[in-house]
Amino acid sequence: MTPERIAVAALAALLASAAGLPRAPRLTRVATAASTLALALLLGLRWWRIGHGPVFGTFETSLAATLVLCASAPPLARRAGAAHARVAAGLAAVTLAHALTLRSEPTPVTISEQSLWIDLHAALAWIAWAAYLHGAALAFREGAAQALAVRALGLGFVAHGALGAVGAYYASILFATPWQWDPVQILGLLAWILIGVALHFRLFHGVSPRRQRWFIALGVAVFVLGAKAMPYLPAGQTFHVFELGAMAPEPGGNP
Amino acid sequence: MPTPFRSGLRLLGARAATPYLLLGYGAFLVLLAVWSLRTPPATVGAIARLAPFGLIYAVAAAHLVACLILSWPALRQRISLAVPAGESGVPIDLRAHELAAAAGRARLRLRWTESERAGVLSRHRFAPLGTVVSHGALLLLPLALAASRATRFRGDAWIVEGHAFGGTRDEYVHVEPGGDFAARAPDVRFQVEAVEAKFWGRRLFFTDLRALVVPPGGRSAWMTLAQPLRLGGARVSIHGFNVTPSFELVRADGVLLESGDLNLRLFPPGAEDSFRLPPLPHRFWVRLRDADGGYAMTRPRLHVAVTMGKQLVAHGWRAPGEPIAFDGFRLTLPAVRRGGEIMVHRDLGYPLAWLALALLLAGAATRILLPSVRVWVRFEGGVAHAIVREDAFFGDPATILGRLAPPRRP
Repeated sequence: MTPERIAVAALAALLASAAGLPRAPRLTRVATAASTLALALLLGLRWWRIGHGPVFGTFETSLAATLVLCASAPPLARRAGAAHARVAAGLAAVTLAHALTLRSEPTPVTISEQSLWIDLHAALAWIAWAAYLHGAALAFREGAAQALAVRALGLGFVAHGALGAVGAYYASILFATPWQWDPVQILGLLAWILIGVALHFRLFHGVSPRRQRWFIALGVAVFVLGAKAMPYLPAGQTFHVFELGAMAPEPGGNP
Repeated sequence: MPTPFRSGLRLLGARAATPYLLLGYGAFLVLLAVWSLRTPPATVGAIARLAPFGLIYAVAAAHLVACLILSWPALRQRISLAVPAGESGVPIDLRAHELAAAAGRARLRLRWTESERAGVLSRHRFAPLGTVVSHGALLLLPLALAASRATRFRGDAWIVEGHAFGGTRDEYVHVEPGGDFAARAPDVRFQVEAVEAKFWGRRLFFTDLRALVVPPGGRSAWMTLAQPLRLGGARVSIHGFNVTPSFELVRADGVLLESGDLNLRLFPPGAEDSFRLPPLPHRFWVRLRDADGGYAMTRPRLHVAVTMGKQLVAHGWRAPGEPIAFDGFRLTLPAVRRGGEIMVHRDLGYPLAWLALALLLAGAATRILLPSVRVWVRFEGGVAHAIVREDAFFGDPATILGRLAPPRRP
């Protein structure tokens, strides 16, 4: 196990502990802040070591998305209550635990990813990830959390839409078509529509996030599935996953 | 408006139907998602274009248009600064000279409508128009699709360094759509100066792939996959790598019979391709490997097999320039050239599609992230009354009133 993976495991354990201590809100705050700093440091070191930002590979993007989730938790918890900080810590712990199941070897950026459009695509994905998870968690709470849930889901919806638009634009450059009926694209569109339905229910029919909390959770779950199921899809079934070459046959010996 | 038309419009644009139409489309996507796990994307796309699914798009488009028409009067009211009729408002503890400071505290813009007697405060007043912009933008997508169908061109071709690409039909190995080449194909011509590829160690994993080309009368420029060149109104990018040898055929007495460049597909290593040199009855099979064991082809080695019918005449590994002898001839592959597969793409529907997506996002962001607030305040007989119109999307009017006139300290 590499030092990097040990650090990620330690952070996951710290966040899980913080999530499981309902009577220690201060510990949760400290653990979340420490995890935010540690993740930023970890990603910064990795960036410095391999020469590109955390935009390539599900391990890196999981860490970056968790960083955004942790960094955005304290301001929301201040208004929605300490319980939200524990939920966010729990979600972050699960995300990091999942990251540990993924390949973490430093990988150079392949030719199709060498674009600022991809950097933007990745950054929007982190924002959507954090906003959706916060929004779904806040939808289960009452009081001020309800308005925050709508704001978080709204921000996630816009970021998710921009994520899809940037992806479509870049796909038109790479493949001469913006849309390929790829499972990741379809699940992303499905999640966007489900969250859009929830926002329509709120906007036009006044249905509170709490009343539609399970529906919102379903929409966010589809988004998570689209983002996290990628590495488990059959080979070649999605253009979002790259063979890292180690899996390809090495050229034979000298002639 | 005639009553039957109005009734039809109301039925078509019933807001209650919106979430359910979206859910119907969601169910359709669930089916496609399941298909996409086992089926090639092209097949899923063909299923998605089937007529019954087209009905979903048609109903959704009609519903959208009806909603936009029906919601317009209400929307105009929602951005208006005219005092709502028939409302006296709620009393608030505020004096006229405090209103400007209160507006600043609540981050509202103040306009006095009657000097020191009435004012209107607002923030993001036009944000509700984002609904029209974002939903109206969706109507541009069918136009983009139609423009795309009328103008789309995609062609794939192999290029080799040192050779020219003229953009003729014969040079493309694949063209979309199949017909109408003369009308749709862009004028793309260039000379290929160099093709470069880099790999991650000894893995078949590209970290760089680029081609240096010179258009007629233009300056040399690099093209990559992520950064295509703009030539003849089309995007031109390189998305495949190849290596191909040149050849020399010499008689046993040393007379050169024929020489030139071949156009074989020998990448990745192990791939085998063949050629013939009429009138010789032989076929020449070639494979290529890098003696260093990687993919960079810094020390290429060629395996040449000469066959006649089903008979193997000669074979062996050779370095570039080393001949292989067969039946009184010598074949030499003196050099290995790099090449690549390019994609030429033009589609005039795309600018419309990007405009639609940009408007969709801008409208949605405005509507969702910038809540609109309007407050009318009137001072009469030393008492202030306020009417609040706050975006019901996020909060309740009490919050704004609390900011405008917070409880006074004793």
